[in-house]
Amino acid sequence: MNIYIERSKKSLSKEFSGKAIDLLKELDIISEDVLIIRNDSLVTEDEDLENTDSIRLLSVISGG
Amino acid sequence: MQCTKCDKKAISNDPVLCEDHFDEYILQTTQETIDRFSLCSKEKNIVVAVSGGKDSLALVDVLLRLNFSVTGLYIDEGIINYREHSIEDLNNFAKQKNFSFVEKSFKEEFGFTLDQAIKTNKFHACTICGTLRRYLLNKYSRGSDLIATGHNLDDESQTILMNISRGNTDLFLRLGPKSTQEKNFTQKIKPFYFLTEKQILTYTFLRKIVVSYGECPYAFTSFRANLRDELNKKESKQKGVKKNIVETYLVIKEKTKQEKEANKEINSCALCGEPSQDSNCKACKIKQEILNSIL
Repeated sequence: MNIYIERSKKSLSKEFSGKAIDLLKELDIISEDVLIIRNDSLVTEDEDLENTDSIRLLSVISGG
Repeated sequence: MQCTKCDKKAISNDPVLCEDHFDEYILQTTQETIDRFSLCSKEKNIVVAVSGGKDSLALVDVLLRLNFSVTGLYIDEGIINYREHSIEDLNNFAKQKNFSFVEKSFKEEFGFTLDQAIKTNKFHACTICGTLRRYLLNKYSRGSDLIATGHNLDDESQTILMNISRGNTDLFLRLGPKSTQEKNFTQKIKPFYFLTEKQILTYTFLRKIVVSYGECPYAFTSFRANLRDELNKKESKQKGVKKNIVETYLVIKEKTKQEKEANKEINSCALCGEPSQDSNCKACKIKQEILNSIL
């Protein structure tokens, strides 16, 4: 799975298939801090992700 | 996960709604906040404090969709590699929405940028930025009825806890979705008072509002940033924490206001110093009248 983390501007590859919330846990990211995007669509925390997916984690935090 | 209002796929966990119902939720929550606190009406001229970030652009978009009359006021603090992106987003958004805004800067008003001011080590970046920004927003909104800001549930719950932690009781009791009306101050309103940052970003994503800039480079070390991270951890485990903080605050504020008003009527008697609703207490008035009659 290819993952782009907007807040740290980091791209990474990772073996993962399972619920989106579990991916966040593995990455040590709090669900309140990000929107999960797959193919330009929003993904809810309970959705299943495939290892072939490309995921973007948009940062909720902006400004001061 | 299925939308709680129809059989379409949900796109949000909080609340669990599909795209259409989420859009409706944002408009409805904003309108309900406006109605609950009498924030504004259609005939008022509203200046929105726009930064080019998600909160202010979403606010303009929502207020326009709710048929309010809005213009913008943009303050450039002068932060290199940060503000350049936000003004570009704001210009693109303004063109698309036929929205006009006025631009002011720290450099032209005060003779220095925020980057330059910080190097003096006199104040924390957020103190300089917040104070000077509020000053300019007030100065250049004069003549308008209201300033609307994109402050959201996250900002407000953080601010409440910040003021409690610092023991700022006076400032604490002045918080809320609408500032009090004071001479020479444009009244400030916060129509996104009950929407979270995450809900607002979801809205901008669905509305295809481009916001490319993220966290202020000076915000990382702030007390607010620490509280934000802690609150987000709590909220992830227990939904509703931020809303409970804000709703509890509103109850405390209302009760304090009522108590203050009730206490306000109790003064001291000018003659004897005992508590009195009038300048002279009833006992003194009676005593005086009796003495006048006797003498």
